[in-house]
Amino acid sequence: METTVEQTGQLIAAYLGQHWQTECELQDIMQIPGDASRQTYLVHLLRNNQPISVIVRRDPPSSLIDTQRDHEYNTYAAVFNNGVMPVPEPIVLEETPGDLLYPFSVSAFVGEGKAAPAGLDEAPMEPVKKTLAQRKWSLLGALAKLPPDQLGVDRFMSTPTHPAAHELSYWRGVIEADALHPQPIAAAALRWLDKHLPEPSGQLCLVHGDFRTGNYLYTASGEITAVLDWEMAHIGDPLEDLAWSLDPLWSPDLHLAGRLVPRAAAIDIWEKASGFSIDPETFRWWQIFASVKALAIWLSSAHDYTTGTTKEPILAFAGWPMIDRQNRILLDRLSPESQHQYAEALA
Amino acid sequence: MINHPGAQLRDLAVRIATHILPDVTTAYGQADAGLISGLLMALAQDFERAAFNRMADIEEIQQLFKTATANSSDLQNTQALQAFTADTPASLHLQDLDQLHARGFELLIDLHTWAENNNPELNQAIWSLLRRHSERNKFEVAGP
Repeated sequence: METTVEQTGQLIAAYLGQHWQTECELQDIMQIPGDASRQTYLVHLLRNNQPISVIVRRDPPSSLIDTQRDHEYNTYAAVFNNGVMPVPEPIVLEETPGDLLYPFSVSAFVGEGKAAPAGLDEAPMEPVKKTLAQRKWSLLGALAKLPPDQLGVDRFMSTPTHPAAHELSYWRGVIEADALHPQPIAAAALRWLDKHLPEPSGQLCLVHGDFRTGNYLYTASGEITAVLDWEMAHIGDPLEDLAWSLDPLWSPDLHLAGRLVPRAAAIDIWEKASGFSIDPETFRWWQIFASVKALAIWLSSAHDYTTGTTKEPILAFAGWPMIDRQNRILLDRLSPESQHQYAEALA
Repeated sequence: MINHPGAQLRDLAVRIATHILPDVTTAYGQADAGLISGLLMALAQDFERAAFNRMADIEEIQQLFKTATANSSDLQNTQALQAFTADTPASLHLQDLDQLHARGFELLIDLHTWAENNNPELNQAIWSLLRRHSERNKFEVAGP
C-alpha cells in the first residue's frame, strides 16, 4: 500500500536510525517537484539530537528515464570521491526497501543553491551569468579530459568501441519501442545520423548524459554547488555532453546556451577547460543526435503516460509540448529550406 | 453538447492557475497544479484543431502522393501510395482519423527515405509538408 509523505518520512527516519546505529527522529519532510525519474524527498532529521538533512530518491512505478539505481549511485560515489565536479555525498543505497516499497538511495542535502531554470532569467542573475557560464562549462571541460579509469567508472560501466554508434543504436531502439504514432521527423533525423556517423574520436570520458539547465544548483554569486541527476551517465565521447548542454530546448532565448551566454562563448570555455578542439562536422552530428535523444525521451514519457504506467503530470508535459518543440528544432536543423531560426553553435 | 470546448478547457486551466495554485501549500503540490494547468492549456489548443489538423495533414499527404506517383516512374510502393490517395477515414472520430493519419505517415517515411537519394525536389516537398504539419500542431504553452 502507498504511504503518505509523512509516513514515508517516518519510515526513512527509522531506516536511517538502524543504518547509522543511532537515534534518528523525523523533523520534517517535503517532496521535491520536477524529478521525472525518481520520487525525491528532502528530509530533515535529528540524528543523536543533531540536525541533519538528506535527500531520498525512491524508484517510482515508472519514470521518464529507465535507469538502474545502483548505476546512478555508484556514479555519484565515483564523482564525489574524485572531486572533479561538486555532487552531493552519497550515503546509502537500499535495494530491498521493505515498508518503503520501492528501492531508494540517500544522499547529503546541499543547502546552498537552487536548480530552477527560470531563476536564471531574474534580474539579480544578469551580472553573474558570465561567471556561472564560466563555471558550468569549465566543470564540463574538466570532466571531459578526465579518463574514465581515473574516476573508476570503468569498473561498473561498459566502454563502447564506437560511442556515437552505440548511443545512436540505443536511442533508436527507444524511439522504435515507444513512439505511439509514426514519427517522420525523427525517422529523417535517424537516417541523417546514420549517413553522417563520425569515426570514434579516441577520446573517452564519463558523460553525464543530462548536463543542462535545471540539473545543477547555482548560487546568486554564480557558483555551482552541485551537479545532479546522473542517472543517464555512461562512458562516451566528450562532445555528447557539450552538444546536449547547448540544445536550444534549454533556453527560451534561441541564441543562448542554457539561458546564459551565446553558444560560441560556451564552446570557447569548454575548449579551454578540456584542451580539446572541436571539429564542426563532428559536432554538428552530436548536436543533431542530442535533439534525437531528447525526442526519444519525450516520446517515451508520452508512451508511459498514455499507456497508464504512470499519471505523473510531468511525464505528460514532456510528452506533449516537448515533442512538438524538439521536432521543430530538428526541422530547423535538417530541412533544406531551413531559415535556421535556432543558431548553430558551429556553422 | 459543450459549446466552445477549447475555450472552456482554457478557462479551467486559468482557474487552476489563479484560484487553486496560490492556496496549495507544498512545493510539490504547486508544481503539480502548475503542470496540470499548462497541460489543460495544451489540451484546449489541441481540442479545437485536432480533427482539422489531422485532415489537413492527410489531404496534404494525399496530394503529395498524387504528384509523386504522377511524376516519378521509378517509385517504390506505388500501389500503396495510390491507394492512400483515394482513402477516407472510417469516421470523423479522432481514433479513425489517427488510424488513417498514421498510415499516411508510415508511407510518407518510406517515400522520404527514397526521395532523399533519388529526388531532391520531392525531398524538399516532404520537408515543406513536415514544416507545415509542425506549425499547425505547435503548442503555445509555458515550460515548467
